Amino acid sequence: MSERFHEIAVTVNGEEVRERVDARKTLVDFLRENLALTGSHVGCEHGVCGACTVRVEGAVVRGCLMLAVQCDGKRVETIEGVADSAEIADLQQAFVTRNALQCGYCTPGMLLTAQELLASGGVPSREAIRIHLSGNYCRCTGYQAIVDAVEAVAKARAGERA
Amino acid sequence: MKITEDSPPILSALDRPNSYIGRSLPRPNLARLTEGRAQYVSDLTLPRMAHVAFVRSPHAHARIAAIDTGAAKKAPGIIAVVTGAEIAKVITPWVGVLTHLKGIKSAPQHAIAVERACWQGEAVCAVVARSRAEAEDACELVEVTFEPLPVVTDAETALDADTPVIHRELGDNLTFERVHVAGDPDQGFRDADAVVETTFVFGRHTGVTNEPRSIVADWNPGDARLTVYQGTQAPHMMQNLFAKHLGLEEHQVRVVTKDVGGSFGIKVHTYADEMATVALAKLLKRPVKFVADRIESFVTDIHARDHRVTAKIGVKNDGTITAWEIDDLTGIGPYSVYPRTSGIEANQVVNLIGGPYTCPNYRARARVVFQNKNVMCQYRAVGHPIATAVTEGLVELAAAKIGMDPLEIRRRNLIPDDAHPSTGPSGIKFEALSHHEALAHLDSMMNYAGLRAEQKRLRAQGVHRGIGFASFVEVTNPSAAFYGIGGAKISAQDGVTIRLDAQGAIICQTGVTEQGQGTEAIIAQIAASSFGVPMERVRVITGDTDNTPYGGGTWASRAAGIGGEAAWQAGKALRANVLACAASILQA
Repeated sequence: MSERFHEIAVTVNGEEVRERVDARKTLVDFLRENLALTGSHVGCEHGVCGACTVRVEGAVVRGCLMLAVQCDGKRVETIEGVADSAEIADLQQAFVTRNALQCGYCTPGMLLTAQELLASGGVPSREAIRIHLSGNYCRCTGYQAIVDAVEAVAKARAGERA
Repeated sequence: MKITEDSPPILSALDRPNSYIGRSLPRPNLARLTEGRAQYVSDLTLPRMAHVAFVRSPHAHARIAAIDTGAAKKAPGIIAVVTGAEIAKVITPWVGVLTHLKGIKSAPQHAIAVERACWQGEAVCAVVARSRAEAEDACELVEVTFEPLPVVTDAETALDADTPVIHRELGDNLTFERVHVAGDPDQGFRDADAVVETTFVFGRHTGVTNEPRSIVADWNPGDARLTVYQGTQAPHMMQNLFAKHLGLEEHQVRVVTKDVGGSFGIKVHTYADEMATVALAKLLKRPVKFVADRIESFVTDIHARDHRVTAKIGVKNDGTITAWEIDDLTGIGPYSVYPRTSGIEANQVVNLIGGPYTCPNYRARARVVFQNKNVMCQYRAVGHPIATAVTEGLVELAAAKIGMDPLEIRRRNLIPDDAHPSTGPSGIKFEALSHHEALAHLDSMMNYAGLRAEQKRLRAQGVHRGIGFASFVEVTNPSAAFYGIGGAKISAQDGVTIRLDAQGAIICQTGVTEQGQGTEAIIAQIAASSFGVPMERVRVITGDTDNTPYGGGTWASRAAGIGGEAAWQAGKALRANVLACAASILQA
């Protein structure tokens, strides 16, 4: 049993956290239960719905398919950190303006996944937006408005760069 | 050239400042949802909170011969292992019947199965631990000896003489039967030039919410109060039921519902595992949390729409529909769901078949039967998809049979727009409908003739394009005739309390709840318009039985219709008070 619990050091939203965690604990449970960062949600616990989407070392991952111990020494960002830093303020505003969310449960994951696409630059086609967001489920059926919001932000950001 | 009137159009109340009704505005509660600052029940942690996981039956029907909890009780982090017999000392069972559904019957359902599991997924033992993971670990150590019993799965044979009866004390597997005859259906079919008969089969499905069912129950013996944080659509209904089955009074129970990660109608019912969680909190005198995982959701969230409808229509060569006949069979699992029952969907099918058409000759039979499957009950648009699919399927088939255009047959049979108030073949009352106006509008909007021509052209090229229509009447904002009259304590009315704060903002407390559909926004829009303040100065409080007026909650599209009307009236009343007061002070 000596190997079951591990001391990990993770930089979460810019703050270094040291916690002792069960080897089997998923990253999203670690964030929600150990750190009270409940903006990342748990929907299916097997990598299908995308509600648990977070960033590890800048890349979007499924918080339910990665273990907390795998994040030792790594940089993790959640919706709380990305919202506080204003990195996606324009995207959040576009979601609000276009009512691109109903219950909001999928929204944090949807925003992080959309931001990954937007950060790659250019103005993606609506089809490319849909494909990129295809791993994030909205059960209230609001994809049309979500694609609208992401497209609008892509165009606005491209306009600013031009 | 368009000639413009010299005088401007007369302004309405909605043109004045602070008028928000009918305008497309961002919902005030969205910002927190985009920032990860929502308050879903699954996010909640309370001091001393324990977690429950359930051992569930792997059998569709089995006797529980023995439960050995010894090993589970010794597992790390375990607080309690509780069987159905033990929890039954804390919480009474319930029976999902309503007195206005004549003859409906069901068996007592327990929070945790006692003696018998009646569907695959029914909880047979609860394990409470310091963490959910530890509770699940110990579930694997609970030894349940099951003795499998004969299984009833097929609704078609559920009533056969040689099919085992699931609840012996009920005598048969028939939950509910409704027969309805209106006009003279036999004469109607005799008058018909053509009769079409077919069977419609609908598969079970369910509303899959992203946030599974979630509940945190907190019993405080010092205050003799139970606080339940629950992702529900009907907090006051649940307050009544928790009190009733735990032997408390309603004032001792507070139900709090903040953000809900989708409900779609599945979160308006009583679930055994949630009742067990509340009972465990009472038993253990500490907060207990249950969040269904995805598999638990699939096997325990109510299913819906398992119907087989044999249906018949009579039609004359001139398109006149002369008679309807349906026979609906629906299998609802082993219990009628509490407190709304599992008879309402079939009842609605009978109510809505033939709805928008003039033909008065109608014979219907609906039978609801027990099965050893997960429970079925109503969700989103109760009965409407079944009734509309059957009615419109019949109308299409009748049109094809007599060689009439599908739009034309509807034009010849829809209730005239000037015939209201009118009564449908099921006896349902229509106050004011405009199907003909809608149909004419649709005809021109879609360029029907053009589409038919294109369809013909494409067909020659091997492309098969379908064009279909559906007319229906949707039931919304129901009165007490739905549930209250049958004995379920579900309010058909709702209240809104509006108070003015010292700086001129208003605080609206409403009995309807936010499920993501925009209740908070609509109440704010209406209250701001009615009282006359900017929307930024409106705060809406929902989902808290301690702090909102008694109400029915959110289902059947009632939040905006009934909650919204209450907000409108409350805003007007407050405005009148303020004006009377100001007039007095200002001596105006």
